[in-house]
Amino acid sequence: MIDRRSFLKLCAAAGIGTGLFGYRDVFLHMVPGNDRGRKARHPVYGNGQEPEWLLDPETGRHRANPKFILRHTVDLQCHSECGLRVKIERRSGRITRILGNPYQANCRSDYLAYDMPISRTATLPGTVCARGNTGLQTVYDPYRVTVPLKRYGPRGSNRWRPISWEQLIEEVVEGGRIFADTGDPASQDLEVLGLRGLYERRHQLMDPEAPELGRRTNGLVLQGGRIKATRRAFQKRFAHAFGTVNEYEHTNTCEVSHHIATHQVYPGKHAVKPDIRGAKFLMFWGTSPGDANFPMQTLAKYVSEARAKGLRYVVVDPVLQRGGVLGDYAEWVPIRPGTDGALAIAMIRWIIENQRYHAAYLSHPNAESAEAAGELSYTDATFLVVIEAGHPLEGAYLPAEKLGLEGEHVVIGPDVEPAAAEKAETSVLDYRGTVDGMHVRSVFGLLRDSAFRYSLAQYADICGVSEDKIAALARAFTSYGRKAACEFYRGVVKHPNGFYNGLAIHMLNVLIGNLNWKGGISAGGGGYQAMSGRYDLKAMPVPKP
Amino acid sequence: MTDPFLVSRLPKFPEPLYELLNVAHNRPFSLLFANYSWFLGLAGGVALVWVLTARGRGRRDPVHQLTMPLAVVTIIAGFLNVLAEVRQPGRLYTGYLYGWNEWDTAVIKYGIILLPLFLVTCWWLTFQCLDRAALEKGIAGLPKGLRPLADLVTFWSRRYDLFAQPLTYRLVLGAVTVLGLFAPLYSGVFLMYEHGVPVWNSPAQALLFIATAVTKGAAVFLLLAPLLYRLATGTRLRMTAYEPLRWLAVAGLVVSAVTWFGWMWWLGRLGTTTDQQFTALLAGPYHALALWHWEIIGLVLPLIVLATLLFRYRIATWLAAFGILWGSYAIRLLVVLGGQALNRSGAGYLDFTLEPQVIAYTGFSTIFLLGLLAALLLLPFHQLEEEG
Repeated sequence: MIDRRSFLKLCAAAGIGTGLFGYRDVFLHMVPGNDRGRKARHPVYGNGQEPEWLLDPETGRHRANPKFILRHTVDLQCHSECGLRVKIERRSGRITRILGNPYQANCRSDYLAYDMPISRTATLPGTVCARGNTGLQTVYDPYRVTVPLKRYGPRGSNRWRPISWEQLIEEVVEGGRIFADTGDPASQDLEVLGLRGLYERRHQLMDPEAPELGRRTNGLVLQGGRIKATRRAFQKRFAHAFGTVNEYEHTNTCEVSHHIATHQVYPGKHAVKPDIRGAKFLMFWGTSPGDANFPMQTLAKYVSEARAKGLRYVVVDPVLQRGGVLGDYAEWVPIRPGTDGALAIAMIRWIIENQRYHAAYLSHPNAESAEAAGELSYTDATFLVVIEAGHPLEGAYLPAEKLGLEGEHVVIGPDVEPAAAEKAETSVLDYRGTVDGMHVRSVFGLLRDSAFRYSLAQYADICGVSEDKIAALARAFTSYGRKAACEFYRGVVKHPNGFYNGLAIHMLNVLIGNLNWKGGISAGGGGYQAMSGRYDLKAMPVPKP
Repeated sequence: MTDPFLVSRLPKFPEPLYELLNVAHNRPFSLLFANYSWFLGLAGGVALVWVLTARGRGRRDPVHQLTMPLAVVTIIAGFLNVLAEVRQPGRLYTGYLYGWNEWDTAVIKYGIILLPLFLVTCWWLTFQCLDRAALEKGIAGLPKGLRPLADLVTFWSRRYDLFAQPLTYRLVLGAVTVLGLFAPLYSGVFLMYEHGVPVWNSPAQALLFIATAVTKGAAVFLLLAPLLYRLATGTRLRMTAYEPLRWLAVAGLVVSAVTWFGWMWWLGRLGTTTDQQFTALLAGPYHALALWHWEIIGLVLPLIVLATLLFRYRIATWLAAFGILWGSYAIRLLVVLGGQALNRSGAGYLDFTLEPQVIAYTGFSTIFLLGLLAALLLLPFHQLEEEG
């Protein structure tokens, strides 16, 4: 029988020997400092990327690494259109890295002045979001579509084959039996009128029996993708010059309800944004900073900076997103999808009931009156609306000319007499009465009546947010003066009632009078002028179709 | 079964959603990091036990003597696992040449100095705890040419007694305490430095790793001391004298439980979105690992056994000690893999797939550990008169 020490010796030899044998590959790679089986380029950083900048130890300055080319461009993978700095290997011409362009406002809070030399930006990189980074994968995606694809089976069969650009242009322009090669019995004998043939018939009606359909050229439908400003301008010019009104782009099928709701409240604007860095309290409806909206990374940066300085914010969303909306600076308010309008109107009800709206601001009926009081804008809150049932003007503003007043709209002045809105210095906010034999109501009064149609409990039932929470949100929203704002986006508007959801949320901003105030909602101010500059597209008339 | 301590405001992850189609992220760590953390934790734990038992019967104490060989082999096993984990193992030694400057803000630059120092210290103390006369005899019995080498390897331990002077003795105890705390702390702090994994960015896991290290340091002796002593000396060890170790384990278990449940309470109620998702993960697909392997087997049952009269039953003590070792591995697995499971894109979670290579390295490192331990048990240990 084996003794104790022999047993230990045997175990030692077997254990150490087996262990070393099992780890032989590890040791073999360790000695030469290999990285994944290859000799590492750098003893510490392994086979990581070679930097695009080289530090001159004598001067302490950076200079460009001649092995790479840096190109600045714009990321069109989303609507934010952030600036990119693309690192391209000079030898292969391949992109090796995508960074943010530090000169572009989306990519740095303290974006750099254009006159700063590029070599000084080596240690001031711009940021780019995850999607921006994946541009590399998009460019080199083996399945990326880089040539025209033509269907060669029945519709819906998902069978495509690449064709040349010349073939595409030939078939689209000249038409004919262009689907003859598809083998699709439904379309292979179809005689298609190409663009040339269509254009030659531009003076013919599409259907003489239905002249409202317009000319034959309306048969061309141009559906663009996410194109904006300049590209949209060219698409529009081409379509209109050709003679079709059927020219669309991404927004027509996406967040158009957001734009229309915004336009209804802030005429001429289709988007407003909160002044995040100046705000004390923000409500994000159907969009979470850091997860959605645009410019996504800019919003995320600003919110991060602001919450470190005391910003509180609430995200109203059925889904808890990953933007860090929990903790003592932020709150997630879950809501039933598509019921944001109910929550907004409930808050409006509470605000009106508790007189937490900005009555002085809302009482200014014109720009002069508002400006004299130090306001930056005015509203139609005191304008009178005809509510006389069956009256031809029911639901419309009461026209000043109807009362023989000089102006366009009518308000009730401080003397409780009708006055032209354009001339009055102030006006009664909540008015119901009879003017010239017509029942009228101020706009603010109509909002009040609408909000008071349901109780908080009923609103709570609809949206799934408790009465207490509604009251707390409304109280918080009205506790920071004008340094509060509501921002909303697709989660709110992409419903059949999206327009009304948006309208109700905008009303919250209006009630506290935060338009264009620091920390409030901003209706634009500056930005990149896409339609002027190298090509002055504004000066070029857009032909009518 | 619902875990009353894991309260998440998020719904549980649906079971079929193991892997969602999303941008794939490489995971920085596999099972091997959990191994590394567990072995280093055990080394730190037994080193702390060494310090605590030093005041008793000193260097002749069986537990005291067996501690340092155990620390040595577990540190080496930890190193083996991390070597297999990193894709560029050469980085570890090039770190000594360039790390201090190149890894300027990384905790690793402290680890690459203090952990090898811990190993060298434990190796040195292994020989200092031996019977000097027997060591002298053993080295003298070697061929003449090998004696200088043996002296070098043993740091000339046959020629001096580190514990003879109170000052040096206290210095050694202090140094081992610092290094013993650092070893389990390090793997927790290392995770905290990993960017992009919010769950790891918490000091709770560092505290948890220390507490579980102390617990398993005590548990490993409750479980293995008689066997190791028998193998080392051929004599039997009566465990009655080592009952105080159970109170050390109990203290560690209590601190672990408070830290764990406090952490989960905080995450579930006040944590960020990612923290919430982590708790949802623990309440969903990782539920068994969290509840059974860690909370029940690793915490509650050992606590019941060691804090009550059940301790008198040898089998119960062994099971409790085994549960502690098992549970301390489960908690590391939970934290390491759970942190990585959360998809940065927010869609579902990434499932963990055990790779054969990882299993192989786990097995080889364990076999190596056992072999090295067997070799160290051949050293001349003191034998207490009352044993045998």
